[in-house]
Amino acid sequence: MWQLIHFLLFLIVTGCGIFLIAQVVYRRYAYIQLGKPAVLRKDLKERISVFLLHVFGQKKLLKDRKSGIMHVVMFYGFIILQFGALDIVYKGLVGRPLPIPGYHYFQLSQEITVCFILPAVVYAFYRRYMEKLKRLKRGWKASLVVFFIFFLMLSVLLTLGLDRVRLGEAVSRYAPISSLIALAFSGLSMPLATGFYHAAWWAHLLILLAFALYVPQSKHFHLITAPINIFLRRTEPAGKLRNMDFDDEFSESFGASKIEDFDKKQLLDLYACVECGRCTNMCPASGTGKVLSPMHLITKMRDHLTEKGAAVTSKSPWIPAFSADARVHTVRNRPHPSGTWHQSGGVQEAAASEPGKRSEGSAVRLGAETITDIEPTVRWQNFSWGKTDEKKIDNVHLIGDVITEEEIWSCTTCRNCEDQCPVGNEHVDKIIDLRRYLVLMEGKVPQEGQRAMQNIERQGNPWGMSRSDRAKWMEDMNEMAVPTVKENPDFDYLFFVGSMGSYDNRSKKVTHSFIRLLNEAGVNFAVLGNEEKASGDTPRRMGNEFLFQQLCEANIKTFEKYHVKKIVTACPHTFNLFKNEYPAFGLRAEVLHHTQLLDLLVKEGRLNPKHPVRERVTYHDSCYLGRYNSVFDQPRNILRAIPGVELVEMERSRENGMCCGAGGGMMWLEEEAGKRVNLARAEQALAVGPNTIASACPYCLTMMDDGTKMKGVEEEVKTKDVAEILVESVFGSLQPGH
Amino acid sequence: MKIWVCIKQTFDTEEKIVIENGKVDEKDAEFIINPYDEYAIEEALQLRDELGGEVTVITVGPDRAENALRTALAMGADKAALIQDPSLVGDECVLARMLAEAIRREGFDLILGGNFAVDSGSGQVAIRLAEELDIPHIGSVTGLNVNGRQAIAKRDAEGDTEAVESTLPVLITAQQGLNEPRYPSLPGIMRAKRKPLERLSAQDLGLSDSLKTKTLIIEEYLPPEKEAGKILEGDLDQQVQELVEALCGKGLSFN
Repeated sequence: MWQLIHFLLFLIVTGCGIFLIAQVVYRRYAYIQLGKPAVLRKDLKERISVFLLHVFGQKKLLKDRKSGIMHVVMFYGFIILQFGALDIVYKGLVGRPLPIPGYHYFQLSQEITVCFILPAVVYAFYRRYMEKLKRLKRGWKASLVVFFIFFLMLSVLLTLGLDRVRLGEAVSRYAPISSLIALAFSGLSMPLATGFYHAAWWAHLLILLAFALYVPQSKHFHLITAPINIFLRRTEPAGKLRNMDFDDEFSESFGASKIEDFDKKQLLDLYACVECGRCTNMCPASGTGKVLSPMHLITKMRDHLTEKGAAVTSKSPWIPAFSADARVHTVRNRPHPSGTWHQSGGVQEAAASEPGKRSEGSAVRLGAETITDIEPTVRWQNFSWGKTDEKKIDNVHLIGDVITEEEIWSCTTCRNCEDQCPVGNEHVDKIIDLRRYLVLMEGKVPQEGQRAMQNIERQGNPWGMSRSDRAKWMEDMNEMAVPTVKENPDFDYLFFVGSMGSYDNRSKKVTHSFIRLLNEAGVNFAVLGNEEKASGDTPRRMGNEFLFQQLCEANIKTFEKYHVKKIVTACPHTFNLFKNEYPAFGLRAEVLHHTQLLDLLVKEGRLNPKHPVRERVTYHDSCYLGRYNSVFDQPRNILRAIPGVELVEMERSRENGMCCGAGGGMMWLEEEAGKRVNLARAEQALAVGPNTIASACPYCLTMMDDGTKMKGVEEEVKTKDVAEILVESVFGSLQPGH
Repeated sequence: MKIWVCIKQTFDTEEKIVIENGKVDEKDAEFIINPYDEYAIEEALQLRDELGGEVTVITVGPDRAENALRTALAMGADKAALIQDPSLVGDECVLARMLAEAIRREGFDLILGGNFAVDSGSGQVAIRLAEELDIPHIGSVTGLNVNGRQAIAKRDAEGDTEAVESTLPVLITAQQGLNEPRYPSLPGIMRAKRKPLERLSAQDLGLSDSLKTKTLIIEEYLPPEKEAGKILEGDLDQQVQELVEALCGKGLSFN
């Protein structure tokens, strides 16, 4: 009789629990369904391998070793304990354990797992509340899960232990902990032990169900959403933006101005976020006192989606509904123009003028001053995002009340956040969608950005210099052969010089060096001269898809006219755009970055770096070359091939290399908030005491150049393109033309 | 309120000027709205949004000038008028007469224009227009406030700022600093294609023989090629000596 009641009670409780859990999950699923249809490619094989690597391999999580190992323990521990939980429930109902072969070992595995998880939980608590990692939130909410897991573990152990007492089982070396607990309770009478056992069993079940109900309503929803998100992630080239269809007569709005304007995959991202803050930790904007924090970008939009979704579907996201709090989240404080780094001016000047401590030779080393700090931005985000009485959900605007324009225009599109994200979220495309709305629908662009785009529209370059002067750089080439496509129609490589390489005085020297090397190696190349136009990276990253597509079509037409089959460029932005984004508009050509071609030419022996260049060089990775296209080694190979060069790596290099601050159109905007990104990056470079900061991008070169000037070390520390260093080694530095 | 903006389509400021057969060659040139006129358009749009009414942009020019009008419509102007007649090759005097005729027929409260045209450097048309219409004008304005029938303008007076008051109707010319012109939005560009654009000929305006240009262009030529600069070297005395010689050699005297 008791058995039956027990069983019925179990059925009711578990049935209700599962029903409620299904409800909270389904409601969030319904909110995601408000988004536009997502176009997913079918690459199943790639999806599975990525899934294995990132879900079971936990690859991204291990980028932070300490937190990563903790997570691996919890991840696998939880999977193992699920079987144990089934066993406990089954045994409590039926009276026998699950028919698992080698049950002893199964028991042992459970207890060992608990032994691993408990310290991992304590460590998680330590990292959040004692070590106080800046990227982690520290409210009471964040500690809930720690208590959940702790009491869950406790209930598991107590159930197991009391079970032994009740059944009078002997101490077993396969169940060391529960045996110990059993010993502690050995004085209990049989009925009492049985009663305690059932209490512990029920506590275990209830905690388990409560935990499962809590999960979808919190950031721990990632237990379910993160693996799905990783499986459904975009398999296109990294950071590739969606094409917009301007011929579609039915689309009345472009870009995203409402949360429903995002596609379902983008909305799934929001619920996959676990608020680990690794994105913000690496973000060049967050680290230098801009208001943008990629984690808060996601969490704010998630909160907004939940509130908007609840309003649209009339289904509350919360079970149990603790309070009928109808208030909604908004940004309650406008960002300050000087950013979150309130002593910004002071910090910048002090940092810039403080002379670097000098060590051996002319190398400059820096003291332990703060180079980047995410704390002011994290603090501003936490402070400004909250519930308000003043607005109803219908009046909460995605742009302005959820994400401010200041945040939208702080992103350098460097993708460091995406590279970090353990759940495969994409932040940059969301920011671009917001920019697209602002630019295309409202014509709202920071003034200097508007001017740059207008200049590109009119003259094909961001300064608005005459497009008939584009090929003027060729006049300074001395005696060097620079054939145009008309003069040399049978060229192998089209050298796409780009706006920077054509007009910018500093970048023109890189063009010069590269052409010297091309001639030396006997590469059959040609340039477009005045027929070249801006690639369109600036307008595309700034959200002006309309202008980008015009440029893209014009450039492709020119390429077709001259039968271009291979393109080489010294600009990573152009390289990325041509290689990954032009093909969707019809470009069929092999695209190389100049460091890839130069590496090849050195390897083939067509370029001989014979003159030693005695420099301590640190290489600054360009985002669009590195993180976007995984070209990390070629520039380094070139430097390593040069005798005398001592290559040193910065603390943040390769995938973790910090942006110079110029990407995403930021090259053309005034950077008024916080500390300048290029100053911070120059400081990171100077920290390894180089004589030369090498780069492979005209924007990076400009930014690092300015950075060393701000530090007043431009005499001691040179900034050069990899091609320029190679020229010194191939021709010797006394050669004319240098 | 009826607001008119007189605009001119000019060469892009970075365009290379080429003289062909004694005339400026327009082939392959990129055309823009005269930048000062953009300030005028922006100001008109802001005033309309604040006070109501409609904004009409008007220009005199060849076919290609329609693009400039469409851009102004894309920025948000309500309608446009293009005065175009092969018989009308006008100077500032003629242009002002034609504009006056077109604007008078429709009525006006406020007329805006650019301070001057960046191609010819002319700053007369708007002011002559005010004379033709017999209304006051305030030139080179960097701040404008319209209150009821009263306009208060801040004008750039050779480095100082003057505040000038006038009743409407008044003509205002825009100086840099008045505002930041907006970037046309995509829906704006789409809508601009369908907004009304009236084409007027001299006959439509009832003008023809009475219009005579008051100026005559004798020759069009490029400015002489700039000579290379020179950095003086040596000690101070030597440099002064060299400078004096160079200046005297150029036929300058210091009397």
